[in-house]
Amino acid sequence: MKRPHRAAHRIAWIVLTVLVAIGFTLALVQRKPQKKSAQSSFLHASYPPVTSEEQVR
Amino acid sequence: MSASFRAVQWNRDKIVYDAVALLLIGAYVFGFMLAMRAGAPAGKAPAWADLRISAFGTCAFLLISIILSIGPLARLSPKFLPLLYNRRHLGVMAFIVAAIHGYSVLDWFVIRGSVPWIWNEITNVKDYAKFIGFPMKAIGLFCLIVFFVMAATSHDYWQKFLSPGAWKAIHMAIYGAYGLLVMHVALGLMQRDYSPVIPVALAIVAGTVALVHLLAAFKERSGDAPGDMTGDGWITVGAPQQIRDKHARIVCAPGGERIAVFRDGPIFGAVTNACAHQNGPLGEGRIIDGCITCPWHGWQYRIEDGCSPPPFKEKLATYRLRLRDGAIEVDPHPLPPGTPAALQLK
Repeated sequence: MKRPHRAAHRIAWIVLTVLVAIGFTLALVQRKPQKKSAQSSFLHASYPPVTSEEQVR
Repeated sequence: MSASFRAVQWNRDKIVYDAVALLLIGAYVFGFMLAMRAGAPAGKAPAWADLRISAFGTCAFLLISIILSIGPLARLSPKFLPLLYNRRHLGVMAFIVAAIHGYSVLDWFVIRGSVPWIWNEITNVKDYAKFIGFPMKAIGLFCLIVFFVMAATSHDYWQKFLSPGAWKAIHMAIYGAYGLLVMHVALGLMQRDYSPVIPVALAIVAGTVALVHLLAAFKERSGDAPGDMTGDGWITVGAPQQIRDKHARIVCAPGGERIAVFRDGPIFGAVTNACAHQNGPLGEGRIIDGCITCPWHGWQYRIEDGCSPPPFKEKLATYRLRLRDGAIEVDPHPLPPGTPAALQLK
């Protein structure tokens, strides 16, 4: 790699690591025990799980 | 058009590489689905459609993590160079696996006649202001589009057409897409599945990718220190015998560009350290069949003048060399690409 790419690469990974670490930590601490969304509840209640036979369409 | 299209040049190594990769991908996907079915409590086995989404999704994430780790691993140890050789094919496979994951999600909604749910989720502007609840499918779709661009422009034609520098810059979008991919999992699967397995696995995989990149960058930084300058502005490389035969010593010019000084028996030649193909580190390669050979993809150049042997037409910038007080010295000012500048010692 040439110098500008080396520098951009270095900075990109430092910034990316910090941002993703913050995002991941926030997502982890705000995680709550499983609670189905309205969409999920509707879809799973309205339709039974798809079996392998149903997939052969 | 400034570049002509040539079909992929297949050889035995590429075929073996691709065959092994396809076998491992197939084994992972089917192994994952069978293991999840077998490990589920009686009567609560997940549907195949759900398993297909998870199997291809996790496979794509792991593949992209591996692809992103190959480059820095190869910088840290030459043992990983064989993986780098055909990494582009692995990238295309990763896009196809990610596309199957996307198709499986779409299919899940089609089976239930609920495709509008996806549209509603992606177009619900209010949700974009949330953190938990951010439309993770939109993130996934964006990542898929980036992967498509990477895969579609992975051929050498695009690299020549766009120039190696511009091509490399475009392909660096994969870093941002990987960050978003981690958030796609963190805001999607990790929120739905409360088991500790998901965050632990995600942190280990993404953390490893970041760690190897940071380690490689740290190692690389030491190579940016300018070489010892002589009074008239040349750089001291070292005694001729200090350069291992068929190998190179890399020195850094004052502007930060690196120069690879190769030795092939009594012949010494200095060329830019950046390969004309993908800016690979030529100085970490070696002389094979009398030619400087890039460690990344095997592109070759003559030590005498930096030109690729016929019928190839690539040329590298060369540098003047001299022997003074028992040491090889290099002029840091590049000569026009293809200029003969090798030094032969008796």
